[in-house]
Amino acid sequence: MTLILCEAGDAAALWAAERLRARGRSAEIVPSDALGDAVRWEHRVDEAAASVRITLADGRTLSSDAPEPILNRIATIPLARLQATAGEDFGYAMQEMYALYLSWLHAWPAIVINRPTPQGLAGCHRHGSAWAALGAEAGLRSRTWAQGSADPPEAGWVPPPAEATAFVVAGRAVLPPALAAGLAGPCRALAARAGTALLGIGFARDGQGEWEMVGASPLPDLSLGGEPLVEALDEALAE
Amino acid sequence: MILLCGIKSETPLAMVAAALREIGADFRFVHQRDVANYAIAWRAGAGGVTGELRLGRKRIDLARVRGVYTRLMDDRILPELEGLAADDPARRHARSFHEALTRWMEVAPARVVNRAEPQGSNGSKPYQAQLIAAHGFAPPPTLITNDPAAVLAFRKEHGEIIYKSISGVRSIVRKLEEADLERLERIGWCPVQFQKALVGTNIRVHVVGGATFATKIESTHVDYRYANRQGGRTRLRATRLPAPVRARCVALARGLDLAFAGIDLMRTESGDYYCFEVNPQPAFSYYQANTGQPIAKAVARHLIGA
Repeated sequence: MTLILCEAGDAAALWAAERLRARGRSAEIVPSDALGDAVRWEHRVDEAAASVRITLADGRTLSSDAPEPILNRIATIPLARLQATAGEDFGYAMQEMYALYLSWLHAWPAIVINRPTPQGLAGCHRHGSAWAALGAEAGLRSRTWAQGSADPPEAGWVPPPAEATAFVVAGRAVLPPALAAGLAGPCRALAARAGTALLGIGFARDGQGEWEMVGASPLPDLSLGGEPLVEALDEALAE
Repeated sequence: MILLCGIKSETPLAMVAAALREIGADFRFVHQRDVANYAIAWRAGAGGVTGELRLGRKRIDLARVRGVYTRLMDDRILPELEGLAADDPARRHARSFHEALTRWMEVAPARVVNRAEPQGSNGSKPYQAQLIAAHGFAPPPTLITNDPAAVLAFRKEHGEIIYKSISGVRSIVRKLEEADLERLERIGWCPVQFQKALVGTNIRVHVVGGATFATKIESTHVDYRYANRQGGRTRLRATRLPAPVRARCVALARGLDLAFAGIDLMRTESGDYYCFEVNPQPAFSYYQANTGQPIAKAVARHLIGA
């Protein structure tokens, strides 16, 4: 059994669930709203270990005593219940719940793809400048990042559109036919430097038609990877 | 060239500036209140990270910057911008400058104390506790729950317990008193963090690279940081830790990718060391002023690569 944690309307998660099931893997969707409506939380941390037990409103439990692998697609914490109950403490409650999700997902004693980070519950979201620098360090030809005080302050969080997406899953590279096989090594190196088990790496052609990296995401559109990506995910979740 | 980013008069920044002056290092303030006179432009790619910072008439080649000590405040609340609309050019310039400066700090091939990304672990105490445990320090037994019955059972198991925020917001420690039990059911809407109340000596350890500075804290209050304002008293004294504990502190800070960290320990009567948390941006001046430990000098020496 694999648990797929995702937000309502996450088409990529639903696609992955369907394709994993087609390969014979049991996959259960746990919508983030169901976590948001959980009736009981118990998360412990001490010297020896960390544990978690979450009881959902429908009676299901997620327990570290019987952990299943998780495909984690939670981008943000579920807010509906907090909005309804927290009142003027909403901002505080949001921080508290993010901190709790970060901790319990980190503690989960089975495979989690991706593990949470302080910069993103489904893996570290980085600014375009950080991906450009990391990509160059990993040996990828990455589009030069330029930024300054003359630019609008909002620039930088939305990557340029990608024409092709490479994936790395637990050290295995999955490249679309358009990209040269030689990119597999640098893509793996980028995922390793990023500390991310599942990474989508966007490429686009420059003015001379050469491929260059234009961004990366720990929460990519999985359907772009097709069956080779599902196969890699299936293997990674089984390890 | 070393950059000191923040408000010039802020005590930790001023102390590091004094230490840099003392050792004859070349440094410049990036004084946020002068942001209107500043500009920055940089690039990252195959040629590395290059660019220029303009502080008034002074132009600084960013490739020459060896170290950065950052204590930046939220630029949106700078006094110079008070009353200005969100789309006012001065406010937008300040935002763009700070955005470009902080993004540069994340990728610059310089010693940055500290970059933003590794500071994130402090935003979740139980998450950071797991990282702390992985480095050999015991965190206090911790329960996060929205179930009052679980809290009562935890209290029965551990005796006196405290509660505090899970995140880095409103991070004040309080004992769970009998009177609190009447409102315990209110945790139902949002889980709360409880911990065994440990008894022992609080010790703050500042780690700068491979150097450690330990301060023993005696206080009349559970959370010594708030003792004075709550009518209590706190006394700080420099102390020396056993070598294995010092080594663990250095390894912990390094493991969290923090060149400078404030580690909060407690030594129990039995000689065990528990770790409460690692502060990634320690306001060390309070400890240096009360103990005379040369923390600012260590930061300065780290920045110049000594």
